[in-house]
Amino acid sequence: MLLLISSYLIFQRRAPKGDDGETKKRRLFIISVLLLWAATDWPLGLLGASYLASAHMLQFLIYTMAVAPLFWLGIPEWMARRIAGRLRLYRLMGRIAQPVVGGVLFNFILIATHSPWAVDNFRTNQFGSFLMDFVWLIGGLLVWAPIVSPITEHRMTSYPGRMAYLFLALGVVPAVPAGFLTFAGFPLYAIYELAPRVHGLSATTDQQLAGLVMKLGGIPVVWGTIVALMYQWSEATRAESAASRAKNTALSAPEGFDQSNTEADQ
Amino acid sequence: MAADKAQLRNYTERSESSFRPSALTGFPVSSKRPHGGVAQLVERFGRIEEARGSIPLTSTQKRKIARGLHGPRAMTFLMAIALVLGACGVSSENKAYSGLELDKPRPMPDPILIDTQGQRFAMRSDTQGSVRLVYFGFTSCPDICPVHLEQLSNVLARPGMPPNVKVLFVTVDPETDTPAVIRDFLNQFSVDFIGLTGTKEQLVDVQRQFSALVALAPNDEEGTPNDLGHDGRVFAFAPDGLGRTQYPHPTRQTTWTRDLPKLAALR
Repeated sequence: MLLLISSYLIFQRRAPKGDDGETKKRRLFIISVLLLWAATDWPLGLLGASYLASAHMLQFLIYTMAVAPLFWLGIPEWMARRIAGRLRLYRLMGRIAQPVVGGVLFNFILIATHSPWAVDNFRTNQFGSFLMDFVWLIGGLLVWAPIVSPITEHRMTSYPGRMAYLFLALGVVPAVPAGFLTFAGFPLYAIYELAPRVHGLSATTDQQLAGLVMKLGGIPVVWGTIVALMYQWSEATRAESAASRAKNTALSAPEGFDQSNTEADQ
Repeated sequence: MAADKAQLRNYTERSESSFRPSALTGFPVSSKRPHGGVAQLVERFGRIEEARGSIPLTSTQKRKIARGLHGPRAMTFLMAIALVLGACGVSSENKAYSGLELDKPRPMPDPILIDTQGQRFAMRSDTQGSVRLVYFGFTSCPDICPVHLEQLSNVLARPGMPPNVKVLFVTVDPETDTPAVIRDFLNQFSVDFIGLTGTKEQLVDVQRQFSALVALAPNDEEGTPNDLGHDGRVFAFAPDGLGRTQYPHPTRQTTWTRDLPKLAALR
């Protein structure tokens, strides 16, 4: 974590002068790294890796719904371009920022990493657990790239398209495994079923809680973003129509005609 | 490399001498493992159990350790077995129970202990007509005992489970586990679970009668006693008084729900 933050801060020394919003971006980046730490380390990391399915799901939610978008928002455009250029990742980043690619890959990761086979085999060892956390983070970065990629031309341009993408990629598919978890008759994951109980929470209740976290936990982020996009869209539309109205008025008004007088008369 | 081999030989020899089921128990223990998608987990916990002296090594494991069977050789061996089994049409579906099946059914012993109300309790005679799930543990056990009992409590509360199932928890730590302590502990899981205790000698004798590995608190290098190591198996006996299956730690709820109705029907 320290390495991530320190390399970010060192990189920022090379920022072009007069770049606005650097402090805000720096804050967002540091928040995303701190959230990554909170989701990975004790106690949530330990609980999620060995004891509670609900903690495992909360970790997933933090990685994909908070860390990933904040990580993208915290990286300034010049830094992203410089890194993509040096590592020759520009084209790859463009490809994975396509909504179909991002959405499909994220949901594939979501379903694969929540299958009982994957959880019972990967969570039982440290490396597997780390791999699962890493894949979640990558999945989160993939799904948020079309919306908040630091490279502006990789973002989706249409507001309705962005809203529809968010709803489909982050709102619809997660409901399927969440439903399985909530309504399954038996505990699905052996690792959590056979772990010593935490605060007397039974394996079935814990699993139902995990399903609820998966189903409802993302709603504030997804719908909050959709509402923000809708607001931006209406503002943009209003600004556009105001501009076009002003342009039309200017074109239709005869030379020397005092527009302010006319408006005052009205 | 030589040191590794020597270590392996030592381990094998120690395993052979320490974990000889027939010598310890006089009771045939099947090497079959419960099937399901948790084979790896079973293996992991199995190894922990072996380290604690709870579950004897299976014959396959002993051979594997002795021969150093691993890597491509192991793969070839497993593929050959799979082919042979496939050709013979043998599958795990033929198993009657999901738990560990015994080679021969064994009658349930009938020792008399003291229950949590201070009354004499005959383990078989006082539970006639029920499935008896006998478990040897202790109330301060940090992991295996609470998990087993929690699983049983959850399973028995499910609709469709037979009503005639008795869980008999026999303490292996009578000095700490007084009847009142046992009752408090069991009430966390179910008020219907039966707690039993006795003198130290009686309890050792009961563990032997059930062919359980006798609980021990081995000393570490400095001579300080470690945590109590005990048998992690639940010994199941049908209403007809015969034991056909055992359930090691960990046993999943699905295994219990498959087997308990079958056991309850054996009258």
